[in-house]
Amino acid sequence: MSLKDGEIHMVSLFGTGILTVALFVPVLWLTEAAQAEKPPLQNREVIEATLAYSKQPQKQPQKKIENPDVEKPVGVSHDEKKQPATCGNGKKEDGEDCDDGNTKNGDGCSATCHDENKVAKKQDDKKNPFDKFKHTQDDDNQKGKPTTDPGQFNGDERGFAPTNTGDPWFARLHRDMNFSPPEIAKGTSVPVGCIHITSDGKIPEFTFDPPNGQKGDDDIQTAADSALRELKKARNEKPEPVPTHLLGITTKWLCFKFTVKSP
Amino acid sequence: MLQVHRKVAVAVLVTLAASASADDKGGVVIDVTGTKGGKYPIALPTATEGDQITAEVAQVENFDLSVAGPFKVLDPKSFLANLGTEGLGIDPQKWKDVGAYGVIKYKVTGDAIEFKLYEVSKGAKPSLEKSYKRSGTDARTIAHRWCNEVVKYYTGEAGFFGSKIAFTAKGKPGQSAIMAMDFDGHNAYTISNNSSTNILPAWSPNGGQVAYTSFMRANPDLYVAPAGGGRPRKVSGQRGMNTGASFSPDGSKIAVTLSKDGNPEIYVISASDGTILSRLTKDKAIDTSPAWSPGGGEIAFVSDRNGGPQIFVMPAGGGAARQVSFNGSYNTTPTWSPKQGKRIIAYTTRDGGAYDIVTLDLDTKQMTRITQSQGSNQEPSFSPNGRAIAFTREGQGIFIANADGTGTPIKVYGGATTGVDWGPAPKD
Repeated sequence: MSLKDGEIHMVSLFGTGILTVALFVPVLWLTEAAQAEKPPLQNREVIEATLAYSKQPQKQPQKKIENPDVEKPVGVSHDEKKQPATCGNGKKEDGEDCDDGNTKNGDGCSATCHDENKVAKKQDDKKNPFDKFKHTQDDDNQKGKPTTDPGQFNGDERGFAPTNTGDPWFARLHRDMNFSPPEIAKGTSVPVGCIHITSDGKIPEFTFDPPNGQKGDDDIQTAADSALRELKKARNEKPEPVPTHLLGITTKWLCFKFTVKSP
Repeated sequence: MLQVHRKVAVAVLVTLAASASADDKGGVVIDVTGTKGGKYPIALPTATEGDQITAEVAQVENFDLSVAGPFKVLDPKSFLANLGTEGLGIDPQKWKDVGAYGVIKYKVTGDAIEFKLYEVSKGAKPSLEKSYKRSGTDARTIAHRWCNEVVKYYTGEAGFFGSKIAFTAKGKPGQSAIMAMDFDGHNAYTISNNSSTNILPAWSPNGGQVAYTSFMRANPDLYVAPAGGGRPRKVSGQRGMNTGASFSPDGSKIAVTLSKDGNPEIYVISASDGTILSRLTKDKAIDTSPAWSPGGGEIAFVSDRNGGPQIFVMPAGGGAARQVSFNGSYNTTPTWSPKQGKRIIAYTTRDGGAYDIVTLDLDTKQMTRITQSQGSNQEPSFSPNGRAIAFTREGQGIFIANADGTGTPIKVYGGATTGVDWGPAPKD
């Protein structure tokens, strides 16, 4: 059994509709779920981010923005009865943003009668929409120098440290610290000291005034001070760059709790 | 179905939010643990008055705390503080910057010497301060007393500064004298006063007397003299040897080697009149060099009953002796550490052709080398608190070393010497 042209046309329209629904319903579901929590603008950003990081390859929603520099081929439009616009005749016609009577670029109305400011914006839109989301590392570049800036050091924030400090970089940091109170050191405090470390591995400063107030006034405090002083000196003389996956520690004070254990 | 999809969507959003909060956790610190050990860095800036007394106090402080054991005296060239501006006080940060844990300041005036000890972690308030009147007491003695206070503050133990060391100084062939000096080599003087051979001095526990063996009457007899010198009293004149005296902790008895029965054996005699109280060894071998333990319960000595000379230990009341030294074939001159709760001896050992000093913990069997082939080192004696050891180095003189084997021995007296014995702590 064969289908007539009209039937084929109806089937293709129906199929297109189904496809459209299939593509856009998930978007609508997600939109509905997020809508109660965030304003619509953030919904769209979250959705786009989710889709970008989804492991399942998904077809990007079709952009409705067309390349303004490509002339619409004749005959593509459904509306075959309309006459094509004439750019440069001084009349703004269908498909034109403007018509200044010429076909020159650079005067606000392009040679193809499109608003040159809008074109610039459309070009911008062609850039990766996810550039505005900052990443501390390139997913394809796990080693080597960071490809993005982790951010500025925030002197008011403390204690950003990964839960797993088994990384060899931390082992070397600990080694350079050399926390060893003298045999006759007095006191039982457990001081907490913090360092500011830059991405190139240097330590411009350290402090002993954490907000929780753990600061002793005994020889253990002096030993901890001495340990951080030694670390600072060692790392400023021979800096060891912070690995890409640990760059987060450069944005806040990295803190250490110094404890004396019985021999 | 819409509800299921709504849950999925929420789950995705929560996952994103959770990973974000994990990255911004805050308040996480890294544990750093350390064990106590090593020296305590202390700064001893010289007072700015610049006179001889000021310099002498600085010299005594430097020496005492350098040999005390637990301190590391910082190099004055590294100091950043303005001593003139600071005066008797301190700017804690300036001293932290040079790695000092403690700082001692002092001031000499016409009638007193004032000392202050600062712990930089505690800020600008002194942790310990004392003032000593100068009249009738020399500056060195005052500085020694202050350093003893500092050692006691940090360790709880009495310091040994101001104690004395007795030794034998060799003279012409056939002549040697018993001498004593401050532990740092100053103020040396003679105790014996004859032109004969005098050897093996031993302090009484209270520091008031020194026993020694003298050939002044041809026979090696045992004498006891006042610690400051003076006419000696013969305590034991048995035929043959009366050598190697060691006082009991209460000072009432002396362990000594007598050869009156033809063979050198260990006896215990009365310190007052030399009456033989007991014979501790009965062996064909040579048994000599007795050393009474600090607690009074044991006596270490040297015997060649198993071949060459080795160190043995036996009950002070008599009983079976057991060998405790097993390194090499020649071990002599045992002496006990006065440290409470420990059974540690030091002795001379021959390693190859050289003589060195070692310590041995009788309970843990841990041996520590005090000297290592730096000449011929013999006859060790512990300081009153057990943190230092004095010994002789043949042809050079008397040295002091840390009892834990760290650091480099310091020479305190130059000349041909033997028979070192470190006296008790001073009574201030």
